[in-house]
Amino acid sequence: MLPRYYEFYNPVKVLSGENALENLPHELEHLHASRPMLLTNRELTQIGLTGVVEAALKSAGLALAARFEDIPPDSSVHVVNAAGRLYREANCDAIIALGGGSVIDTAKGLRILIGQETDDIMQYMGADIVKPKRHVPFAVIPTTAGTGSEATLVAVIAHPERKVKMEFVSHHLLPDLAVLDPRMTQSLPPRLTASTGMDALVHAIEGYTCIQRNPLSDAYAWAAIELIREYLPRAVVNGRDTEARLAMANAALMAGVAFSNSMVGLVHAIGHACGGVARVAHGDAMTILLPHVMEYNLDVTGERYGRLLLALAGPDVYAATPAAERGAKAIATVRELSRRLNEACGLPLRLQDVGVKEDLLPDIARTALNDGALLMNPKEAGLDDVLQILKQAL
Amino acid sequence: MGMKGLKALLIRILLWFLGRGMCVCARLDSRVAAEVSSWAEGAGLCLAIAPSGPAMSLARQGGRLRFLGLRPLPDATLLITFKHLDGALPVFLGQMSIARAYAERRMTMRGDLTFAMSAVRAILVTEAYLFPGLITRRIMQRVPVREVSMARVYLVTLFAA
Repeated sequence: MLPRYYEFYNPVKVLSGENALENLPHELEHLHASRPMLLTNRELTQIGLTGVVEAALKSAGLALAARFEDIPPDSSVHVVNAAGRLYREANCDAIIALGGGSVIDTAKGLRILIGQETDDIMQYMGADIVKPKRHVPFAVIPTTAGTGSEATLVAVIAHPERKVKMEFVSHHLLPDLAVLDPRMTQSLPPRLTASTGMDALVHAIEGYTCIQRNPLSDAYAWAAIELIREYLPRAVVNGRDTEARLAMANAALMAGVAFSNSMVGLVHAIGHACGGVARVAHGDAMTILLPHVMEYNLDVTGERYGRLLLALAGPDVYAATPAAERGAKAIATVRELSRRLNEACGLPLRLQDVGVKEDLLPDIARTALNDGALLMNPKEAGLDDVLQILKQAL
Repeated sequence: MGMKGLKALLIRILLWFLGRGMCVCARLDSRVAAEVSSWAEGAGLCLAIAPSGPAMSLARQGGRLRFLGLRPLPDATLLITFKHLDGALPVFLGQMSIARAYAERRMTMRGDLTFAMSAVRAILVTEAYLFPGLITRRIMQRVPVREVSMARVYLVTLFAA
């Protein structure tokens, strides 16, 4: 059924395939960019990925005007400001982000800083209020297959002094280009491949069921889940499987497009809180919480989960499962995937596996209630509900 | 006065009740009181209609939630701006939840989105007093139970907020 009203936006040009990076200079030229600044982190330079990007640019006669590598796992306004100073000093005219969520969020913050011609991005905190004074060409090369940030309109950047995580939601944060090159994710260890892949699965499942969903976001979510079902276990078992790596990069991007337009829900609300309060890695929190939140949502959104069984388990299982049982079977299928990944690489299945103690649960639950994703969940949840989910996941 | 003017007038009236109602609930309802007590002193909320339609502002001052009137608050901690009158009307008439309005991209938000969650919870409880259950049940899966009577909240809203 069509929503009474919806909006959908995805202007990102996707370059996907082996040697996709070699097409980046051509695309930058079409964006009138000749002095790009690369944002990345030292680890990616150390394992040689920055060199691969530079070589691809150099092959077309393009050199980086600046390189910024001081990006920690949790980016902050200070990092964005430092990148902004370098961007202006080096007279750059485009941004290339090479990395995972933190690098890409920093690049999005930098794009606000430069595009708004400001020194303080905090005034642009919020939803749909960024109105750039100029276009800053922006390319993203993800090095994990999970966040989908290369196709989302969201950035989260900490302001340590004010003790806030600044949230920016704007379609002006969407990159011009996303480069999905299997070389960029081949070095990702199995455990990280699994947890980032499960993050993508949660984006797709929540994107398919949250209250802002629409037919176009559904299509992206569905396609992402089918790819994840087939290729995530393969990518975990054999990181050199180029087909699986590329498929997972595509799945993460598609799930990103889906949730960028339909938003995420309770799994993310609680997962963000687990990260903030107990330092649980995002992908691990997503893996652990997903089946428990699906159980919680089942009475409201069982029909949607039932449909998803086809994408999650394939046509044979779907056809063999009575319609009334498909929602529950979808949850069982998610649990089975997590269990297989646990066996393959030690992906955690319970909060206690990642060091969460019971006495932290009330604090996590209270924090989750202030996460905007809670509003988008198909079933309302209060403090007691969240606490119950956390206890089940412990 | 044209239809647009009538709608603007109606929204002014509804905003007046919502703003003063929230202040009353912050005194009479433990859940709204708890939300407001978590706000920093001086924290302000402004609901407005673009481009230059009605606006209503509230702020925590002297430990209490105060109605600042039907005017914008330039330095609000959170400014929620509906894109147009027609997008705002169902929300203030209790026909659409704020979550659904956000899902339909009817408004923009400037400021701290964490503060927004607390503000939304306070608005939801207030709506449970301002609207009969017949209306609120259509926009909320769980309508907050009233701790005091609806009549009392309306009386204080009208005469002693």
